[in-house]
Amino acid sequence: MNLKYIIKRLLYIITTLFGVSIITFVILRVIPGNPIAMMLPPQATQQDIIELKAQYGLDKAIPIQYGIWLINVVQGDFGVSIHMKQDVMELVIERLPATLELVLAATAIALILGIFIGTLSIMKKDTFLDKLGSLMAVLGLAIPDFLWGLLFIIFFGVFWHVLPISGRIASTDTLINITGFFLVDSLIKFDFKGFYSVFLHLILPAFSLALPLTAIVIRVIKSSLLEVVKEDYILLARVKGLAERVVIFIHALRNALIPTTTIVGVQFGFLMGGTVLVEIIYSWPGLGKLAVTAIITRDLPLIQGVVLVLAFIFVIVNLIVDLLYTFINPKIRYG
Amino acid sequence: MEKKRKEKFLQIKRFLSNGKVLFGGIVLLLLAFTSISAPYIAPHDPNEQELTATKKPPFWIEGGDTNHILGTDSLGRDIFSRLLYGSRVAMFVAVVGTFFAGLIGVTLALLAGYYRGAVDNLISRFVDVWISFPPILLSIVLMAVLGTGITKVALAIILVDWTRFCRVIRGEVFNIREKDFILAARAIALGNLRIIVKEVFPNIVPLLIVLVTLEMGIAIIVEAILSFVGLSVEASIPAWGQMIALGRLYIHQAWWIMVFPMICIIISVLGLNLLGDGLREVLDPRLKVMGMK
Amino acid sequence: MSDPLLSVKNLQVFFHLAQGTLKAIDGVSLDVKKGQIVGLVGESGGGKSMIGLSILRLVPEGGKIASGKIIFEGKNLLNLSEDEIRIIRGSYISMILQDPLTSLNPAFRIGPQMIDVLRLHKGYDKKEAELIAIEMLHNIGIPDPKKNIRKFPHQLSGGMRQRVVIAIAFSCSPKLIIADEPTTALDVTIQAQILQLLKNLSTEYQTSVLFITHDLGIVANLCDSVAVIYAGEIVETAQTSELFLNPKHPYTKALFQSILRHDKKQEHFYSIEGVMGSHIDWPDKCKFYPRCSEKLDGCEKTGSVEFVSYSPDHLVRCLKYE
Repeated sequence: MNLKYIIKRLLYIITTLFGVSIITFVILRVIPGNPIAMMLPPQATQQDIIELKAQYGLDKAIPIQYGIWLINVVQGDFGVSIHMKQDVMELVIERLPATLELVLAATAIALILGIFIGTLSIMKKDTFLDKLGSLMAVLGLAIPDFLWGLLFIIFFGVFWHVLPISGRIASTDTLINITGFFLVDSLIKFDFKGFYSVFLHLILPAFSLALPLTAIVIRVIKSSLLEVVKEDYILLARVKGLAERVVIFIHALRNALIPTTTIVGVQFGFLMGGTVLVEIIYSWPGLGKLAVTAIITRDLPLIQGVVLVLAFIFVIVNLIVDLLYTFINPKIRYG
Repeated sequence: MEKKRKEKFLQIKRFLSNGKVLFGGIVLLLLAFTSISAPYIAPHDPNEQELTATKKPPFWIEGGDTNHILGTDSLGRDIFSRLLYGSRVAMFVAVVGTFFAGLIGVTLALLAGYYRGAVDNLISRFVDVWISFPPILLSIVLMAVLGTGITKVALAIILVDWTRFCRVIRGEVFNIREKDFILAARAIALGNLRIIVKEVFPNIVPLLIVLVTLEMGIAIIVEAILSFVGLSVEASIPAWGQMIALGRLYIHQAWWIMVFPMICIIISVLGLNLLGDGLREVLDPRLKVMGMK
Repeated sequence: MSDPLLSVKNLQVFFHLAQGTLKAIDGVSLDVKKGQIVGLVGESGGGKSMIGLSILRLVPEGGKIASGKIIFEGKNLLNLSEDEIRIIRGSYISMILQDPLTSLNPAFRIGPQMIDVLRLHKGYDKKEAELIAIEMLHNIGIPDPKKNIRKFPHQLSGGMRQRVVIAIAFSCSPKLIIADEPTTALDVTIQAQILQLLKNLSTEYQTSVLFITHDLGIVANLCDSVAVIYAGEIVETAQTSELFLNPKHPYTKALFQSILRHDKKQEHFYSIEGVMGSHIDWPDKCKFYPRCSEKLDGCEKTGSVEFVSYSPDHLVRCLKYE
């Protein structure tokens, strides 16, 4: 890990974000729907429109608009939401923990389920368990997250009311917002009733997001384990007399996890921007829902802010995955 | 001649003996059939509202009848007919979206993988920036910009998903370029374009076929997502996602409004995924495509 | 003389492939006496490693032990349950694999890979096992074992890694060690050191060794007796000195000739005419005759050839001596 590498990665991140912001800016400026018109009463005069446009800087040429926006962004000012009249960064930061909590929970579920099922189906090859694992891998990918969400809603909303299907916490419970991560907040305050409620609310949306990812994890784990078990060191582990479950779950799995981390990391990045539908279905007050509201109301500063933040998270996550990869792969770490 | 025919027969048999290919193929054929013949086989006009017969259940449930075999929605429209018409939207975006996304992606991948250097840098960098957009949000933004309409849905899918082809194929072209026959073709100074078209391209076809089937499934999902949030086709055109969004409002009274279009999407995507998986097994067992969603 | 420690009797290992049945091991019998070092010599692909794996019942997927007995200390290993054979592995019989670069797990430090076998078979706790492992490393000549035990395999040289693998093999003081070409992947100078180490340890621990190799030179220095294997069949067995003085089977002779040629700095290490090829669905008759320079008219027609006693301890399987 040398300085040159770090500088290279930082430059890479900066140019990517630069590119993303330019493309977003250009796409959005050709939006036909006029946000200004939506903000004014029907009897507004041409004069009113011009004044409002000037207020948001929309009367200037696109490159100049971009320049002004960029200078502000560099200073940490993402502007004010046209529709909600609130600072964009404030809105984003307020919603970010909800999405992060959801995505982290989904990733954890997918990793645990996927690793367990994938490994077990290699150990019990050609048995019922293996077939079940393959079925999960196929169904998980064929059914996208929002359809899982709707299936759960039919099941738990209509037939079997054991899990909540809307929001982050029961309306009867209140939480003091500290970190924005409700699971953490409730624990800090020793509010176990609140924690339980938050936990229950998290289950269905998190599983909806997790199942497709689980399918991916199962596939990756299986294919890398199949490679690993051919290695000499696995034979040596068997020669030593170790039990098959120790050979597979400890000696083989540790090596198979290295490629899995990369894939899961990349998927985590995708998931951050892919919660939109699940958030809508479960009335989850996260970034995805904010983004759709912003798009539908043509709230330019807000769309720009959300897209840029999500792109930022995507590149940062990729960077973390790379670092993590070097960390869990001793060949690189102690090279 | 006889021998050639026999070989061809054996090859087809090999394809069909793979259960995944068989299942996926049948699903694809069925989709093609319903989307082409929807106007002839649909028992009702998909937009005909029978306000006296709203939320009628499927025929096997008390209160349903065979006039509306899968029941009616909240406006009394025949669900079965709407599903048949909905398959037209799904197939259109799947075919057109995938074709052009593939065309753009593969062309850029061939250029990047073959010429390398600055060309590759430029294209790869552009792809990197492009995939940093959350794909679903990008398609929603694009639909907001483009406005509703079936060709616009296809366009949004093309603009978002060309990178999938570009990234995977580029790597493959990188490998192929090092193979002896390409080096030989370069040595005898065949034109670059000719080498790309005649020597490199045929070698990516197996991978491309797999990617195409997977992408068709993705396109169907993306259309469903867009019509679910009301940003896909015009309201007068039945689409599966739109039917789901409507059904969601009535799940407590009439679950069938939402469930049947969901089943259609799941079976279509399942079929296309299995077709891709199966073809990968048959065409090249060593071929690896990551299960990226 | 007492019973041998290990006695392989008429072992057959078959692979049922799409193209037919491959008899990877075809009726091999072999004795290893207590404290003895027995060489198993032959070209690669001849089934040498398969014998080693069969003894531990670790035949690779697709293969099956079709018949035979593997008697170890009076028990037939083929009759043991999976749990019983696991107790044998690593503690009574252990194995050194060919390539030290790939036989240690890259994701674990040296320590845990040495400790797990001690804890499993000897019931030591973690602390005790670690102390023993450090002492082992010290004994086999690894400098600064306290530091090196915390390293990952790729941080050690090939020779060091093979020492670690040998230490693992000896750590539970097994009765028998199967060494599968343990020096092939190493430099010549390191080879000699590793062989010396192996010899010293086997004397110190009174461990018998089944030494699998293609190198007759090593056999001469190390082994008490030798079995020559060709295409899954033993073709000749004898005391080392006897075999070197009096090679009988044409294949054994060809092996010796290839060494001589090798010494004259010829390019190919092995230059026996022809290749072993695959013997899928091979009929019951000599497998070597297509390459044999001394073949008789009868070789192609006669069925399977039985062993002939050339002298009390010298058996050879060839029509010439019948």
